[in-house]
Amino acid sequence: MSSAADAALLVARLITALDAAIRLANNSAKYRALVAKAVADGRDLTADELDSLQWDAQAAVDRLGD
Amino acid sequence: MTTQQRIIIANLAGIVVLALGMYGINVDAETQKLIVGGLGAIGTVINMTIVQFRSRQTLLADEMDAFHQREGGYVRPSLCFALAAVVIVATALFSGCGHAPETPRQAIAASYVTVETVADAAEIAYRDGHIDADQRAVIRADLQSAIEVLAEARRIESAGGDAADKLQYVRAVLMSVQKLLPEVPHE
Repeated sequence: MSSAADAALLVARLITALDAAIRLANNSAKYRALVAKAVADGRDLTADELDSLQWDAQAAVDRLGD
Repeated sequence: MTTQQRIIIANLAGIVVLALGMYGINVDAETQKLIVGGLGAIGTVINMTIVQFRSRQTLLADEMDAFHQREGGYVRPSLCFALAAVVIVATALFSGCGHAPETPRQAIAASYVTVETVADAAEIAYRDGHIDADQRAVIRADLQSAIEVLAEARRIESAGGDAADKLQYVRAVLMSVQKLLPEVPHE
C-alpha cells in the first residue's frame, strides 16, 4: 500500500475514532450527570431515569437495524 | 509527535486548504501555518483525551487483564485508536470505572449507557466499513438481548431481589460484542 493510501486510511480511522469518542463522552456525561443529581438529592436513580436510559439504549440498538 | 501523526496533520491541513481553494478562498502562507497549528492542537487534545481514557483503563482489573492476555499486549492509544478501544472504555463505564455504581440501579443505568455506546460504536464501524451487515446484525441481536435481560434485572431489583446474575450476563454479552468489533492496530 502506498504512503498516500496509508495516510488516507489513518485519516479515516482518526475520523472514526473521533466520532466514536465523542459519542462515548456524551453517553458517559449523561450517566454521570444522572448519578450526580441523584446523589446530590440523597436518593437512588428513579424508574423514570432508568426508563430514559433504556429508551436511549433501545433507540441506539434500533438504529443498528436501519 | 510521530511521523504518522505529522503525515495525518499535514494531510488534514492540505484538505482544508484545498477545500478553501474550491470555495475561492485564497490561503496565504501565514494562514496555512495557522491551519496546521490548529490541527496540531486538536490532535494534541485528542491524544490527551485518549491518554485519559487509558488511565481509566488501568483502573480496571479483571476485564482488562483478560483483554490484554487475549490480545497479547497492552493496547497502545494512538491516532489509530479505534472502535475496540471505545468498547473497552464503555465496558469500563459499565464496570464502574470513573464513577463506580454504588447501587444495583446505578449498575443497571451504567449497563444501559454501555449498551447505547457499544451500539453507537457498531453503527460507526458499519458506516465506515469496519464491519459488514452480518456482523452488525449479530451485534444488534446481542445488544437487544442485553436490553431484555436488563429489563428482567430491573424487575428483580424492584421486587427486592438480587440481579447480580443478570448484570453478569449483560457484561458477558458486551465482552462478546467487543470481539466482533475491529481490533485496535498496534503501533
